[in-house]
Amino acid sequence: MIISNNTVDSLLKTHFFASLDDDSVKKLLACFREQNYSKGDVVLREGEKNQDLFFVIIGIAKSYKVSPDGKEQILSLFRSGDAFNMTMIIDSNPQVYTVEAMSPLTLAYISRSDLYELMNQNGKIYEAILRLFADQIRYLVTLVEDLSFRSVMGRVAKILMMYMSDLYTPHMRITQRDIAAMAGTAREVVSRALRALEDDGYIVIDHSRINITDPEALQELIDYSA
Amino acid sequence: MNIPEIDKDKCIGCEACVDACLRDGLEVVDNVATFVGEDCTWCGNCEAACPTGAITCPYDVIYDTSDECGCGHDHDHDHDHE
Repeated sequence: MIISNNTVDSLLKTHFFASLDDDSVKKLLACFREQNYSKGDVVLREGEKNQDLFFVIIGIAKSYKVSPDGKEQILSLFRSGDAFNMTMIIDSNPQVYTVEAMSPLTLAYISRSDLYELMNQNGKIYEAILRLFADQIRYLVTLVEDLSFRSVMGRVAKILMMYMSDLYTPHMRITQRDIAAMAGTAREVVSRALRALEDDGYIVIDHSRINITDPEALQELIDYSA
Repeated sequence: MNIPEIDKDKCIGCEACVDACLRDGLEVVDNVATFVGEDCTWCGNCEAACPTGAITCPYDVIYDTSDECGCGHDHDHDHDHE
């Protein structure tokens, strides 16, 4: 086995592996490799072809697209246990987004050919892959819903709640530029939204710290902003 | 005091952040933006001005229940919360 014990433990905790029998797990793990990246490294680049399925072991990565005028739209944040580059399973078309490390990052990956071979041997692996697709489709539909129907203030509030929660470990710091790229708006608009949230008593901004003073009230704002 | 984070590899030494800083807290030294000020208000003007994303003012997003007034300071202090 080429991956470390820590990486094996992390993979076994994912929903993908949890649904598989011992024999499939053993065969899959034997095909995985791992690689480390520094913050800012590009893992996949839009337009290029990559035939590997990735799982995040440590750290956070973002997938994004850049508009012709240079505006970045973050599509997803991938954290420990999340998979990306599933479309390569269906076809070998070029990447539709870029993936970049937002922190020191450890990824485990398996090649398309190895995965195909194992999928053909075991239908449970097919089902596990379909579940990954279902999760991604569900997430992207929610993103479209947010960008289409939710107010900017609601979107910014939702991002703050996401960052406040325990979901993101290790703890990530966020810039107004990051928030803008996730909320699909300009940085100046984010700045105004943050001030409005502070004026309305949802948050207190103290230098480099945003304290969510009343998460329940902020959640209500999010719920009613769509 | 926290100061803006500067990615030396991304910085092109264009001085856009130097011009944007309201406190004259930034200089370009050896072609790299460098914080030389005494304090930073975290206004984010440098981050907004930087054309390469080399300088950022990141926030910690927290829920601190011990911080009763949400101001982020010790509570043996006397300040105006308006």
